[in-house]
Amino acid sequence: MHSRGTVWAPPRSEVEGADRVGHATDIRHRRLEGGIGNIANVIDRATVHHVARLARLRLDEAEEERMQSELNAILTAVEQLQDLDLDGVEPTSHVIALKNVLREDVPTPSLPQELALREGPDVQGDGFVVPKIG
Amino acid sequence: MMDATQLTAEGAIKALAAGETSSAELVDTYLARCEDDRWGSFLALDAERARARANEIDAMDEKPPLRGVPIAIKDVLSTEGLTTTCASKILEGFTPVYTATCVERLERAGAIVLGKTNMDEFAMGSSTENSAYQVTRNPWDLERVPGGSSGGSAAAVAACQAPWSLGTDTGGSIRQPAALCGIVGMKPTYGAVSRYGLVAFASSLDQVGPFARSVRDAAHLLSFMVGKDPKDSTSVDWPDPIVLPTAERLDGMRVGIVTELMGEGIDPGVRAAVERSMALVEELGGTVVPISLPSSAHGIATYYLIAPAECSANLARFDGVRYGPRHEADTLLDQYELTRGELFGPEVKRRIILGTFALASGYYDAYYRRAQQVRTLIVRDFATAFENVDLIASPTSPTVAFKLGERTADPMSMYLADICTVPVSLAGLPSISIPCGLSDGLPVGLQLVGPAFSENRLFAASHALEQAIGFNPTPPGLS
Amino acid sequence: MSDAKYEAVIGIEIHVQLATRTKMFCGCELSFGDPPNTHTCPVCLAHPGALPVTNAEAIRLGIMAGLALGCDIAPESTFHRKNYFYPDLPKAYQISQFDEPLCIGGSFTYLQEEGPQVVGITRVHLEEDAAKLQHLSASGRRAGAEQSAVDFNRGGTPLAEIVTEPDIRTAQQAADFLKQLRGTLREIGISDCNMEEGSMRADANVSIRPVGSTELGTKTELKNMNSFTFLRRGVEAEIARQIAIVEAGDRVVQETLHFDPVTEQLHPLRSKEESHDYRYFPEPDLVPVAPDPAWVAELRDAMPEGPVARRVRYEAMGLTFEDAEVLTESRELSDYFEATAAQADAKQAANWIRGDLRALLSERGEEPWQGHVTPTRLAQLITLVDSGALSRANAREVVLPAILESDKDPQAIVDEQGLGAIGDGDELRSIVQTAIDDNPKQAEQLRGGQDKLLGFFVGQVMKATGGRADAKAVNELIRELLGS
Repeated sequence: MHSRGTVWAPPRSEVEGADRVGHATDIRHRRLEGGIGNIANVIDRATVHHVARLARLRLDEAEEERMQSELNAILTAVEQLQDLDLDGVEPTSHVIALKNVLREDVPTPSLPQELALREGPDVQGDGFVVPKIG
Repeated sequence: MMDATQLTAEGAIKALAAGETSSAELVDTYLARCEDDRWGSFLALDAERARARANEIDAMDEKPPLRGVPIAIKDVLSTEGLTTTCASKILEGFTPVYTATCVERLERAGAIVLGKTNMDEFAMGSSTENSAYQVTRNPWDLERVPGGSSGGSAAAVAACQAPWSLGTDTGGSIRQPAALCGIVGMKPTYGAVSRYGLVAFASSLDQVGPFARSVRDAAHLLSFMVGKDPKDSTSVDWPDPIVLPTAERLDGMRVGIVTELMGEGIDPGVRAAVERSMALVEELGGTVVPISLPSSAHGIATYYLIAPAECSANLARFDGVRYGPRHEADTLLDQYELTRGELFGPEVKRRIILGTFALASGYYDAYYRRAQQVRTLIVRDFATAFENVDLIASPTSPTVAFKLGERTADPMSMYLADICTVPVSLAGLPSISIPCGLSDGLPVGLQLVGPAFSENRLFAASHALEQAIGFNPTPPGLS
Repeated sequence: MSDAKYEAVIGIEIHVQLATRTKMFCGCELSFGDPPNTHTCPVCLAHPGALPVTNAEAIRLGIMAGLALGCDIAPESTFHRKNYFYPDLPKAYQISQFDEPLCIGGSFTYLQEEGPQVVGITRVHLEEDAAKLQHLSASGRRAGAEQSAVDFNRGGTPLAEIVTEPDIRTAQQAADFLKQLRGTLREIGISDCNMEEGSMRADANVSIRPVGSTELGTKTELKNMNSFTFLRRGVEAEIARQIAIVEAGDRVVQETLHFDPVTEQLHPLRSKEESHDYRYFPEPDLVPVAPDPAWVAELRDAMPEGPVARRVRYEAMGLTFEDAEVLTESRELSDYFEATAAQADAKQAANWIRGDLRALLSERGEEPWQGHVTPTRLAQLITLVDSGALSRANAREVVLPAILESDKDPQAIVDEQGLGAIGDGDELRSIVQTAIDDNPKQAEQLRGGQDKLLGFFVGQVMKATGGRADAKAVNELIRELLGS
């Protein structure tokens, strides 16, 4: 089941526009690049690098290369999902049909300051220190 | 001195109630086994506080129901004053300021935390080899993995370092190590146990559950953990109390055996043991019917998009600002990237990148959204199946415990260890693994799955089967 | 706008801090000005394993905002995670709303002298605020490195984000819109909208296009303008900047800008090479919000009349645009005015409140509704003057201050101090006659048509009566007795 290796063709409606490392913040406008026909090539080095930057992970050259091939192997394995006819199928993000789980607007005790700061790797005075935001 | 290798938690509670032992003695007995940790089960022990708490309970007139029976806790659950590292360098030395709700509830019920168990880093893995700190060995064969990600908790119970323990299960992380270590492991219905204090891997899938040497112990432990927690919006009011199972028969019970999970890709020895269990189901008065879960074939693919996507956000908070070590640098970007790049292990980084990719602009619809749609199909498959059967059976793991290092080079081969458990997680259903025999001298797990909130049914059926199977959970040569 | 060739297209995003006691997703009490990191917990510090739970009051206030803006309340709305790394965002994602916001599709009418203007409201959604970053002085531990410190007290404060359609055309309109919107939001009590403390912040999306065009130009985003003046000046500056770019034959680049109120310059806020990809996805730690329609209907029915609607009503009562604007600045002032106008002439009431009463009170740093001049007393005062029983001058200079000091009714003060106006009776007639007799020369000149001398005689009579004479009656008597 995991290695059917079919060539995936994205649905027509998704084939236009948008660069590989898109900038749009609106998922309603998310589109796939027309050129993605062979899933094994989905992730190139530049994409690995870009995604690692988004995730704030510094990878060295060797790691980046290994990551690229491993991710492509994984994406090849998950390629089977692209064959399924999912028209009209609602996505599931919660399995349990709970709604309106709310909390009364009543204060609960906060942590004492020294406890809040205790685990900080660099605390000066009463704040967590980070390099200056530039 | 009690013989820990022969003891269940139920037995220990009875002995305590009868005055045959004390909590202090029990804690000492188990701590001795924990300190001699040839299996690598524990990352941290809380000996001093455990002994103090045992003495406290021993001195009580009105004892709490668990009477000071010790327990081991997976290091992914937050414990106030006791390091919680998730087996990751990025939380090295981190000591939480609060305790997870489920642990707090057990402590209130009179359980005593012995220490924190090893795991795959941030619960990502199926062998516990992704721990940043140590290897955990399978008590049945020290050259083999205990399974994962809750390998330390499973090994600790199998090695009788604790009568029971807590694990967490996202795609099989309780059931698979339970199977590989020859013990009972149970993943409750999503929402049954509060996730408050469970360091999130994939929030829509994570659940806390028990490891034990008997189904009754697993049920007993779970009974103190379930129920609505105001601190977890996804926790539910528990409908009926969990009762200790006593059933010996399965009269009228219809058990569906998943045909897709009894064919190719499943070790013959595993299949044989599961088939023997199905024969027992019928002997006990139940009916076994073949069923199909067509979409479960997409379980792994779906899971390995959804779980990494959620993990990519869940693990973003480890940024070296408020807690944990960090790589000091002059710019914020360097500090973030070097801290995270150096302190996360390879599997965690792989999943963060995979998940970031699956959510990224341009790929969301093709990967994340699609996976969520397939998740709907998987949920429907189970719903359809449960129109005709009461429980669903399959192997827990396609293989018995594999050798250390055997799969570390190929992430996909490791992911396939979860092939039987992952669809159940995606559907949020309760599921248990009980040992159902040996293959080549190694334990085989039988997975039973019920509809949401059918924990009592699940425990009753697995208890009846457990009695009929008569598996001895103590590995040979253990003393 | 300076150049009639172009028109600006402006949309505004307003972040409003909701008036809850606790944070959006945890029970930490909201504070302003407390020592850093004293209002935090595992949830708002994003400790491992902590989970959010939504504040019910924030939902209620968000719905109130939506109702006040004529929005539909979504039958079901969800929270999403908006992912980005920043030290003020402890989870490295902000819990916000994305494609299923709480309130959708309303409008807000604000008033301009030339008539009411309507701005479409795209949505109102809820989210959590970021923490506060402070630059540390050079004495940081790491030699040479500049550093910032993070205070998480504010982190997790509930915010409503109100997004408008690009329906605004000038910087002044933008400021007027925001001011009137603030009045409405304060009125329904969802926020104190204190711009100085950051509990109301506005971003503006600005583009320009040739007049007559219907296409939208490339927009820029102006961030966090924390006063009406800055909003107006910032948008003005940006429109001018864009026109200059286009006039020079260049193209406007989409970017985020910060307006420096001191230099009145606009600076790019984020480096351009850093692409943003927020990777929104449904927040798995929270469940959907599905407000009971009956409850929403109750809230809608209980919605008070907003200040804009009141302004329209006041103008219909005969008040000027400016009267109505001033009297609706606060709910208290409005109520004070209405209580007065219920017992006396509305226009007179407006004049008294805006004029003499406020002038008198401002010296004491008081507001009209705080002192002894109750609406009933003010109405009595107005009636006394209207009926001619008290001269305006005495009302203003003697009675009003006396009410304030002595907490007595106007009539009592008039009686005590003998300020009752001398009407058009015999007494006044004889006083006027005396004034004429004493000043024959001036009387002759007035008779001869020098009307400015009328004031002289009125002054003489007022002097003689201690200001108690009714000026109108005096006027009439002078003319009658002079036979002019």
